[in-house]
Amino acid sequence: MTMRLKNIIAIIVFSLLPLAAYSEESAHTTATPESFVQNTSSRVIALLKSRTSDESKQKQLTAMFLQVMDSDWIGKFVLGKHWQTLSDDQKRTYLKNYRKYLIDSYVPKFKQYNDQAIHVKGIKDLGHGQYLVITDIVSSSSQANTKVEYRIQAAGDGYKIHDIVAEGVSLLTTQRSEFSSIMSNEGFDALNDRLLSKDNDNN
Amino acid sequence: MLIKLMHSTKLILTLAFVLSLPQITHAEIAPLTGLALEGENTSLKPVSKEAAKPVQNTPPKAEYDISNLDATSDEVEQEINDPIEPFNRAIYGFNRGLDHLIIRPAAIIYRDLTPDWGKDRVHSAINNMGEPVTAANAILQVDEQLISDTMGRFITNTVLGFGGLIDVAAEADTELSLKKTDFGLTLKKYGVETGPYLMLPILGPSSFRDAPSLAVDYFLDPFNSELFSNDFIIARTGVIGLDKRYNYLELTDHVEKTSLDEYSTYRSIYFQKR
Repeated sequence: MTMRLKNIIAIIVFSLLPLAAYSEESAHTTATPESFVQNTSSRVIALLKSRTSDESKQKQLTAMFLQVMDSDWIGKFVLGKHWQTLSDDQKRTYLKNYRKYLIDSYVPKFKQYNDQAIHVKGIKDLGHGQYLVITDIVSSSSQANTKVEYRIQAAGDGYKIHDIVAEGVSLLTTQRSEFSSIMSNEGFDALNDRLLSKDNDNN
Repeated sequence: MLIKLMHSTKLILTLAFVLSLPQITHAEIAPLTGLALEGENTSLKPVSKEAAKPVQNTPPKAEYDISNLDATSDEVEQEINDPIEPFNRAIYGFNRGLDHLIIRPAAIIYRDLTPDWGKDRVHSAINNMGEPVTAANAILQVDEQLISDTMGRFITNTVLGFGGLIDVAAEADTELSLKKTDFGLTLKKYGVETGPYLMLPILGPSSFRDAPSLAVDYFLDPFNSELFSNDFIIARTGVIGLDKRYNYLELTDHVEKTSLDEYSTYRSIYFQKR
């Protein structure tokens, strides 16, 4: 595999943030997603570089993350056809646990932020209010850029992220394959147990 | 200036390069490709223009229309071809054990004891010695752009980059940054499907198409030829492994920490990339 995956994971959360900021302010601006992502990335970098405690950063980032990631939609999507087999109670439990799992998997990565910058290379209008934001993550320590694409969906006054594709590897596709394998082989209780156990691992 | 020189001499470089590779002769390429393509329902014509582009520039996209899609439909199910999953899982278990016992600790020692500058030089040198295999496959794929880029890189980095220790080509022009291809992707270009997933001992994720292709690439590689001593070949293979494992540390640690089923995570990534 010719992946340039070193650092990708660490920067995914970092690179989400400009989009989060966009979503937050879009009600008050008519800027294009492109210009806004560029403009607000400096604000986010300022937060990451600020002397605020890690705890406080984590809190702020979690709020942004929840605001911008459509975690319920993603949670349903990655369960695929198995979603329909769950009872209403199970659905509620699952979505609650999935949201926490997603936050715990990605938000703490901000601690690995190391002066990377995000360059928006282009935005593709996919129709139906969907856009593909194509970015390069540029690291100061390495000459290799990382290509990260965000699939975003217009929602209300802002946008929600539905998928992150890093060097051709999609978060949605990977998790759907993983969750589907567990549902088929072991069932819902096992999936739920694993979601919870991962939460504990990361705390 | 450098770039201009490289482009204007690409034909000469191409010829010089082909002649300088003892293992890439017409007589040897023909049986290799013939053998590999035999029995498959393929022709020697490129599948499409799309497939003729350098692979790294056209990563697979998740093609689905979110707005019209019921999130829970199975319309966009990723195709996973894994009929020998229990066997593969057993090999994965073995690999993981070995990795935790020896390979990962070695990569961590390498990460912690070698300065970044040194690791970069090793990475560049390893990449440079990989260019002939990429070039050979670019020739088989009749990908002129990739042939000239790869040859240009190899000559430039070998001569001006102190034997490949510095990637001067990429520093001069980002268009000339490393692009890789291999015999598995050559077969893909000619229409050979990935086939069933195959977890190889130590080497990791592969497939019925890509596993035999590793052997072809090994023999296409002039640095594995008789010109080099066995000690060199073994040492180089070890360094390639160490460099690769080091570069994947962050990814594998993340997967280990967050994946609910590591085996299916790696399998999905494999099918998305190949």
